[in-house]
Amino acid sequence: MKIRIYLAVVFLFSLALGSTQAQQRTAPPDITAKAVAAAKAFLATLDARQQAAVVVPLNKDTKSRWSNLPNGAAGLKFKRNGVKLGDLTSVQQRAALDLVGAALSRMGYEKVINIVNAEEEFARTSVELRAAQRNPAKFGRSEYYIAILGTPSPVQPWMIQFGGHHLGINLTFAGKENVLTPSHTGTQPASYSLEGKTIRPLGKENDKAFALINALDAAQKKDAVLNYQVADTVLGPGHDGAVIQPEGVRASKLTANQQSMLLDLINEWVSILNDAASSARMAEIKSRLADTYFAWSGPTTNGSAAYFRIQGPTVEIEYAPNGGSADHIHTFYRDPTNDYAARFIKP
Amino acid sequence: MKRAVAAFSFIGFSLAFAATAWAHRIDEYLQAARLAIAPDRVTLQMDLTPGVDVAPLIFALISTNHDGSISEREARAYATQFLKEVVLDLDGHSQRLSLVRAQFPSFQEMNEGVGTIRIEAFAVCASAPGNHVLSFQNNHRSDISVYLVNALVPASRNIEISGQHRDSLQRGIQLQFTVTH
Repeated sequence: MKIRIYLAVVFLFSLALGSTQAQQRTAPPDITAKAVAAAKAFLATLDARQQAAVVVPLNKDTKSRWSNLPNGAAGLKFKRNGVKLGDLTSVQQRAALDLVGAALSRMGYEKVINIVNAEEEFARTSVELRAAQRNPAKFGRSEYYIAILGTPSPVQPWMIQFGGHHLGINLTFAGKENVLTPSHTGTQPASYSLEGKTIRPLGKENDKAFALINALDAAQKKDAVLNYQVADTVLGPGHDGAVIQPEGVRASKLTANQQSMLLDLINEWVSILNDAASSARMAEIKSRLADTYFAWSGPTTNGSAAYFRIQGPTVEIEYAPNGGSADHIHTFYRDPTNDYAARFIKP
Repeated sequence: MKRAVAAFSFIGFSLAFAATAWAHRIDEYLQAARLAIAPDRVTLQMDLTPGVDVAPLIFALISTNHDGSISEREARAYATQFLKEVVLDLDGHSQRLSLVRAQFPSFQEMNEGVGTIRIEAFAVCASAPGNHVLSFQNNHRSDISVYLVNALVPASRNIEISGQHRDSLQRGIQLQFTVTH
């Protein structure tokens, strides 16, 4: 089945991460308290109408209200929680991004910004293409929404959502516990130029996965490589709670070095979260590594469009080239036992 | 330590030219199936998403009176027809799928390639303790479709899936599973 690919030669714009590039920092002992302070600071910049839009109740409907799709293309009934950056002043935007960054690692925050900048790049270089397609979707950095679900608290559960096209950061706080699952990262283009540098928002995920699949011996690869095509992701938005039967090579069959490579690959998603929380999360995943599977569909030459899935008792990761293009990536990161901090929140 | 904020401001233009691609599912009908095996039944959940180019074709199949909307009767008729075009076998015996619910998007959503039809059905089929094979095959609109098919991890601890085999396009799957007391 063919996928229609639209090509155009375009200018590339440089976008800045800015002179205030996220700085190296030491994780404070209580990230939740820091996030609560950042939430209050953000809310203090808003007027009453904006506050009412940003703060929404925390419930099953609101927390699952996220998507990989751009605004205007996720169904007529779908609208992201909160307010979009395009409706905020520069001071409010700064406070919003401070809030987003409050519970993320330096690397995670940079990844988020690189994804948003990729979106801006795409928006500015695809105007004619989208017009030709009568595409109703809205693209660009102004289309990213920020929301606070529940009341920011050092004790009671609440959430930060920051999302738009190719991004769904769902940060749940339950006391001192910080949980990033489920979350979505993606990018189009997969690579762009910024201040003379090449930026690949998901480049490490891609490269580490190709390195791992090519580190397997023939027998391991036979288990890992699926003999069928995977046309799309399976565990995207709208599939909360679904756990599919795992496939691929079991990590118990990998060498110590290959297991380290697998953990390093998983860490690309886990370490978006702050250092303290991601260290604990990695320890949890490592403790169940023997029951974790790595599955692959597609070519194994780096640069090719290939799908992979990592699935263990407490982790599910999907990486999928959209429409068969290595330049358009969707990924989803879940914990079937603890999405939205379910394990830490008493019903 | 104060968190740095990334500025979004443009700092200038790159002189580099590059090619970019906008890949978008347009001329395919994505059919994603999930199978849940329980001691007394098998549940099928389908997500059917027509791309932009094939949406009018699919909509015309559903809205048979061509009034631009999908009535309850038309929705049920399409879902029922869909279920006739999938094959579910347990240990070589054909299983009848009964419709539980069908949810349809608007024409506008389908026309924009973002409308997903959701169909849920089940077959009553008790599996005695021992080894079993469940086969599923989707024959609906194979001329325009791409497929996904997956088994959900059984909710019952008495059921364990021991093998799964698909065809290269994921139109069909064969699941080996064991039922214990």
